[in-house]
Amino acid sequence: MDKIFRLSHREQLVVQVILLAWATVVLLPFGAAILNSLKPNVGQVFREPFGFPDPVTWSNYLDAWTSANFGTYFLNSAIIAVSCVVLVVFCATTTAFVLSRMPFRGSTFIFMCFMLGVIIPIRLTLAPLFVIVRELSLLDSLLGVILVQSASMMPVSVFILVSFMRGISKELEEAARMDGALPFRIYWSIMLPLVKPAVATVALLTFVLSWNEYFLPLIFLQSSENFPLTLGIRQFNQQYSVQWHMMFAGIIIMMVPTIVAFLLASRQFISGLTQGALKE
Amino acid sequence: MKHIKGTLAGLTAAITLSAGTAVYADTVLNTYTWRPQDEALWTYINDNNLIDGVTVRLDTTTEDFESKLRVDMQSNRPDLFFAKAGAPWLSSWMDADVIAPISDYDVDLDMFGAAAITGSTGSDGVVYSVPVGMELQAILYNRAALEQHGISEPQTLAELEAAFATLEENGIVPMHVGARAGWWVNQVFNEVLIAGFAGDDWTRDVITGDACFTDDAYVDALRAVERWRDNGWLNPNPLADDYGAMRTDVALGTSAMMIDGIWSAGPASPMFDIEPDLELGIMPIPEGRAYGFPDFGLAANPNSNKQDAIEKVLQFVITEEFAQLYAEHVGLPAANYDLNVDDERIATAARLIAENNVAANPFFSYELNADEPSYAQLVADEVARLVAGRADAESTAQAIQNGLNGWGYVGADHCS
Amino acid sequence: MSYAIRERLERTLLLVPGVVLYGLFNFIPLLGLLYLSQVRWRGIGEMHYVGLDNFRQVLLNPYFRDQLFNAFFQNVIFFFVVIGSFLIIGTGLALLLSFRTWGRKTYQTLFFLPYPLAAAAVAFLLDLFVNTRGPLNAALTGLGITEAPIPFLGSEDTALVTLALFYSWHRMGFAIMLVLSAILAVRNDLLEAAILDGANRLQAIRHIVMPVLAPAFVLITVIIMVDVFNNADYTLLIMGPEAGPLRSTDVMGTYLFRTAFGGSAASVNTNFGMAAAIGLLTAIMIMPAAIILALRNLRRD
Repeated sequence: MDKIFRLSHREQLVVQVILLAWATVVLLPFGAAILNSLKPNVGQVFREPFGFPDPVTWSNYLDAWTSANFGTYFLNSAIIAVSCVVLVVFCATTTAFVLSRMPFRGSTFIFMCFMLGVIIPIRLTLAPLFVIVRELSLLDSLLGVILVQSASMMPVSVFILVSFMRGISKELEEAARMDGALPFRIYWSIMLPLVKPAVATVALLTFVLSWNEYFLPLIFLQSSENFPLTLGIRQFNQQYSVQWHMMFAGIIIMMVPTIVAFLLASRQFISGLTQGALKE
Repeated sequence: MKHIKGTLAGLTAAITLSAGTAVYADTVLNTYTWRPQDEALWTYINDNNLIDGVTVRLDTTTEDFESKLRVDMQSNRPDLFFAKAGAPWLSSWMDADVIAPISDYDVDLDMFGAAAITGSTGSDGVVYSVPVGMELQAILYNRAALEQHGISEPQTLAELEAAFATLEENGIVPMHVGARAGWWVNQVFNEVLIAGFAGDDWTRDVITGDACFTDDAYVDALRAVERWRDNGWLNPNPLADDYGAMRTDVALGTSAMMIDGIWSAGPASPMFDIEPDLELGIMPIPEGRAYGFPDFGLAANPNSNKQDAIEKVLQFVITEEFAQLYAEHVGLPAANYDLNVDDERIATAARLIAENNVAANPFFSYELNADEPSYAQLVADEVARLVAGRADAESTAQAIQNGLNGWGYVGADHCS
Repeated sequence: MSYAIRERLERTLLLVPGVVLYGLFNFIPLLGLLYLSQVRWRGIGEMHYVGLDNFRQVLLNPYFRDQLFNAFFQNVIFFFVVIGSFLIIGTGLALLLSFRTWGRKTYQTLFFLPYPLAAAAVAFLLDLFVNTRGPLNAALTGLGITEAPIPFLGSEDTALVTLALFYSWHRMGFAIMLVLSAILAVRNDLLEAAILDGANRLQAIRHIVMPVLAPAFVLITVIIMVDVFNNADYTLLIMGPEAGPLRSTDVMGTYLFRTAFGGSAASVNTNFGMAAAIGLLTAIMIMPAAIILALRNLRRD
């Protein structure tokens, strides 16, 4: 076993070169952004993209922060993403639980309806969706965006959870049922603990996708007080499209909280995102 | 839901109040615009309370303004919006009943010139916006870049092209085009070329269908572009450069000229952020007509429930006080008053518009833009192709003509 | 209440929230496509019932039809560039990371770094990065690799692939981690048996590891496919709804957006009905492939 995964020194060198090459591909844009975000004017960015800033201008960050409402945007993004996670995890686990463990007449049909949603993405239904959201007077509200984004995550989440739940043996559940346990309890104290990895996957997938969502807020939010970061950076870009040093500063400001959060939780993040997706 | 919405609205209001930007008694009008250059003016008006009891809050969207406005109209959010000139632009809002006839308000439009009123008039002959500013589109050039090589402002086409050659020899891009921006190609670049090369007769006749896009008058304009392109007088990757890139290069002096609106030379232009000492010259295409037009008017949403406040704003916009403020803050001539402003740029623009303006604007004509693919759309696609070296002048003109013939526009029988 | 009734009640209560959420904001709009595709409507004002005219326009009017095929074809290219890079680069890097390499935990974190970032930030960052005036071109010309800057996003030959590579750059970490965890999940006894049978490393990887990766590949393909055919963020953010240069980055999402809300170059006739028709047609076009993939994955259980 070990023989397969151990490397000789020469092999190690080759592997390191390849890994370093990709690391460079990943890091270079960030590096360029940080370097250029500290330059005093756009002329310096153009003339020497890799030159050291002269003088180092930290005030770009302050200017970017004050001229755009990054605080508000950030808060909105957080509200949207967290609400979506809570909503999707709750709705998808309950639905998947019933569909996979307590089938009834029509449950296959319901499951097929969800699968249709996997195949046909929500954006293609943009026009009718817009009418519904407007009729519920949810346009330009965070609640509207949260509901729409959560709904868009439902099919994939149900799909992942149902596949996962189907793979779990029924013994525990049947024993509990013998003891007179009702669906609520079986769901809460038996099923949920067993599908934790899949729930983690769904939660993280939802968080990442709703945090990153650009299109749906673009359509359903109008006032800049409600904008998440994705729309905020677009707003910022309109203002500073020719002033690259400011653009870079704005982009970095937008990225930093995510990167910090990720680095703090990278281990759980990666394993959670990938573990549940694969049935072992 | 109502509850949450109410809470959110309350929070928003609290934040706005604590920021101290709004006086609570004022009616706030959400006003949609694509013009960031007007923000300073309206901030000034709000700060000095020039419109009693009303705060005009600008909501600026520089890209895809129409998409944004159309989406937001669905939640009935805009109270006022800036309307572009010309019946084709007005038509989609008229059809949807989201633009009010100005006659609904007590606003006197007598002091506006015919050109300004035409720009605000829909295909049904009703006036739908209060004209605000005049705009001029022309060649803008970096004075320093020209002077450095001993070039003075070209007076003839031959002089212009000689200047191009000199600049090119010295490693400066003579004419920068930002063809990645479709809107710039059709409403700036192509229309300035038409004014400069095609002349009054053709421009008038093409709108009535009596002249065709395959006529020499228009093809000559495209031939000039083709010539500039083939001589290396345009920037090497026109489709890589958007509107911002074009202005950046002219500001930095690596490119000498561009075709643009004189808003780029105004006090709020980002070009001066790039190069504070920048001096821009303005000239029409030599030996041709200038291209001035009423850039926009202020239009009202008839479904807004703040009609009184809207009326107050419209009444203020037609005053001489506003015209003066507009000239000062935005740096462009207003549509209704001839002001004595000793700003050279405004004076030049006003003079060119008064003395040498082209007779008609195909871009603003309803006849050419009534169906898909519209003239504006075809120009954006085909002229970009020409600039990028994917087509020649003749095939570009033919493609525009064919596209219009496809839906039987006014000249289809005559120009097939 | 008897157990059976309570069981039913609770089952229903468990089912309702998810079904309502999905039904109201996803499934009903989906059915709504059928009706809306038969009206002409600007999105504001009155609807006009036009029957199948929208479909006729999209499929028969050369102006709209060419855009439809162009967008779909480019969408397919986009998909294959993304999935190709995922399967080749992603699998390759995952294999390398499965070995006992120095610093592989650090590499894992690094490679995953772009994934949680918002597409909007990534799009603007990379847009500036590959600009003709940007750092990448400065480096390329500085090192003498090219003479003149390459207009990655400014030429219709390269723009679409460049956007697809932006997407790959952004999401590569996900593919790597998914494949990596599949590799690490390969049962050790299988590998040991193979080695005992005299298989060398390459053979063991080919015959033992690769087959186990199939579910991961299917999962990646399904997720990416669903995303790519409705995600037009990169084009919308960088190129706008006109999808320049010369429509070369147009995908179904941008075509749909342009039809519903108009492009920046002055569209006079926006039409929600036609947008619905395009949505429906796209769904039909991607349905066969999606169903095959979905069934494949389900049958595996």
